[in-house]
Amino acid sequence: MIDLKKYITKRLISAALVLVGVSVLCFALIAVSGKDPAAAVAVSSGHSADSELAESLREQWGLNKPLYIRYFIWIRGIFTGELGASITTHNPISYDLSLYFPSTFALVGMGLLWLVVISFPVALLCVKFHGGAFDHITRVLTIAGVCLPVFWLGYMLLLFLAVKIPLFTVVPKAGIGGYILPSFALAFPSVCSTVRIIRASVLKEMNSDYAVYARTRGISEAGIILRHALKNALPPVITLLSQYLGYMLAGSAVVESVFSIKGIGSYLVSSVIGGDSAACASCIVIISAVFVLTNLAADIINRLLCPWVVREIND
Amino acid sequence: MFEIANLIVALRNEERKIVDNISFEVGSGKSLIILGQSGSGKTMIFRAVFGLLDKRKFDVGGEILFEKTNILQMKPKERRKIFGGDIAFIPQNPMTAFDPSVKIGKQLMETRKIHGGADCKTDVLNALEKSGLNDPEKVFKSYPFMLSGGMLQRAAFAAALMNSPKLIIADEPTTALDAEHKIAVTESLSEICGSGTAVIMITHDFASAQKLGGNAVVMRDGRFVESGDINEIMRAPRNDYTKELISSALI
Amino acid sequence: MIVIVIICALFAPAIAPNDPYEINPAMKYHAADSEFPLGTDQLGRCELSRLIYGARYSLGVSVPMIIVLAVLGLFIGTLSVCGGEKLDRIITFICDVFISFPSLIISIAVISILGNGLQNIGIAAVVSMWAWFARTVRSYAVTEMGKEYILAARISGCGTLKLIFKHLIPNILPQFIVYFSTGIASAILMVSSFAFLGLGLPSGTPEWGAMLNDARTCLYTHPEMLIYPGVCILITTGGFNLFGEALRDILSVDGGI
Repeated sequence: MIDLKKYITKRLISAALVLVGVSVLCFALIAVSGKDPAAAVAVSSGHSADSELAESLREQWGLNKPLYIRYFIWIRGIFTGELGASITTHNPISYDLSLYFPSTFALVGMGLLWLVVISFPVALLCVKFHGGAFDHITRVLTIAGVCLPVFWLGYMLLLFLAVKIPLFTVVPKAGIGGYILPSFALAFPSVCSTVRIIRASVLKEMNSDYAVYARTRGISEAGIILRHALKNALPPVITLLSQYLGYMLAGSAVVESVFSIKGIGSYLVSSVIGGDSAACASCIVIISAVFVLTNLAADIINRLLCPWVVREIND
Repeated sequence: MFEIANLIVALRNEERKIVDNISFEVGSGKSLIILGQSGSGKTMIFRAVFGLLDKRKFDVGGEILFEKTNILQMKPKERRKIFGGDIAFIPQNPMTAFDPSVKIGKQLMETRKIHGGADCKTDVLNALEKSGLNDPEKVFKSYPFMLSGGMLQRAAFAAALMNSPKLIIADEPTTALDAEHKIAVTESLSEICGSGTAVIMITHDFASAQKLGGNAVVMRDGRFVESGDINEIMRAPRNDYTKELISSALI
Repeated sequence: MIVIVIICALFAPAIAPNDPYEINPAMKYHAADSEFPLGTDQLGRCELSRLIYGARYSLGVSVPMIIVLAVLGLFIGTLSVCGGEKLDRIITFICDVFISFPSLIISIAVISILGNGLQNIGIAAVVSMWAWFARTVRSYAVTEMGKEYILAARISGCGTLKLIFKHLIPNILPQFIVYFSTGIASAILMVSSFAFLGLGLPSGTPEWGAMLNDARTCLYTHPEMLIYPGVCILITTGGFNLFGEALRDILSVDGGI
């Protein structure tokens, strides 16, 4: 157990370091883009870029201070929620984020649900009927799925399930029902590659010494797959799932655009197009932080669930 | 009790046979040693017995009779009742034989349950103790990586013996072990043999073979080139290949 | 499949039946006929010609990009392994930071700094993907460095540079090519995602992603406008992925999936 504490501390420190790196990069984004939000706000409210209003805004947001001080102000802002104002929506960025985050969260959450619910059973069935028709069909489908552009899949789903057969509406309904198609489109490429990876690693486990020995002890194939091979193949899959969670978060930009959902992703894209670097950096820092934290969580879960892996790390 | 008749194993669509028409018989309380170098096809025999050969890649012909029933003709479900029960297996490398992600006790209980144990935990603990493990409770609760090779080897013996098998097949049981454990393993095998269980040992280790004693066959390219009592073979080999093997083993 | 797409990209002007930019409002949503084999889009431009020119954008951006990535990846990856422990740690950390952003996000960030433009998309994708390439090369190189022939070369007095170029790189190349060919597919997907989001390319460019975005308004009326570009992307990325798969089977290496 001392080992475990030590490991978690180590992982926490490295995650914190990475987060600092991420925040520096994001801040660099604001600084380098060279756009002056104070001037933009002043201009948009009918004043000139060097008016008193712009000057006072600069003073208020600390934009006239040296870079490193601005960095610390910005970091403090992340924790206190004072991220400045968006020049595209004219709302405080933290307000915009709180407005858009829930829908992206629901989208990605459901995507993760699809990911887990589909990929495990499909991959295990492929292993059980390895070389059979189901396996081959899945193989073709998953290769196609990895190559598919998410936005196209989204439109095809809309076309066939909303326009041709009106099961869903093109503009998503409020509530969970509206997220079914978008989250499926978002998760599909990840589902495909997860199926491939689970299938490959469980198959590899099925050829290992312990699987052979288990067969000689009269344990059924299904028993070996479920009770032994899957368990051994699990740790890398957990890490992978956390990675895909991050990809889905990023991919939400595309899917939200297809299904006209207002979320972090579409907010990010519109702020990039509108040249709103402060809003953009805030989105990126949040998405990346979630990504780093899920990876951290996956590592710790792995460590807790799979004590036997420790030995391999020590070796 | 256990008999193999005209066993043929071949890769599908290939002329060469990996196991070429071999037959032998083992009775209760008797031992049989299958000697041969790697590539001689000796491990294919146990793979054929336990149905480990992929049906899409291999053709298996002939008969494998256990108490007059052909194992090859059985349904998988019936076969699984025999495997690990009446016919038990001792793996080559105890370090990799157990699932690293499951505690030893649980793995043994799984096998015990299949073969109809009512109080699995007690049975497993008894079996572990009988096979010479001093602290069965601790072994029961350990992951495989926490135990030494010798302890895992004993656990494998416990797994084989707890369902009171009629036949034990051991695949190179001494190869992965150091000298001290080699002796212990062959001693346990001859004890098992003495208690009325048939033992088949597949090995290329002449010293361990001689220690176990009993009938032996020498295998080369899928065929038996010599058979007889192991001590007899060692003393006066008739076949040139056997002579070569013995003299190279002595170096 | 790859060959067809490459031919389309190289000889687009010769193959395309019409000018992909020619706007003809009178002809909009023209049905397919001999002049416009796949009909016309919302501005009366020839759909097939635009699709053929689209191959130029997809390959034109992703191929140079992936070459830069490959060279950069090989260089940084091997440097990290051979350049001493300190350098290795620093490089690994920087890679970790970059990998902590989902790559689409980094690219969006880079584009927001650099502004629109075909080149910038390429740069954005390089910035977002180099860390993956470097890390993959590093992991291959670490495995190779542990092998005995490297030790033997060291003992026989082989210098670090010579070691990298004569021994290390040739030995990790097969695995790397497999990784590389799947990398092209993801690069194409990324470029078209940008175009779809309206980032990076001037409007009206016959890029597949951008065409999909243009066609979104006619989901009800002319869904085929949505289908064609997607099929093109699928064929191209599928081609490269299958190529990678086949290569993996031939070379029997475990590339990243």
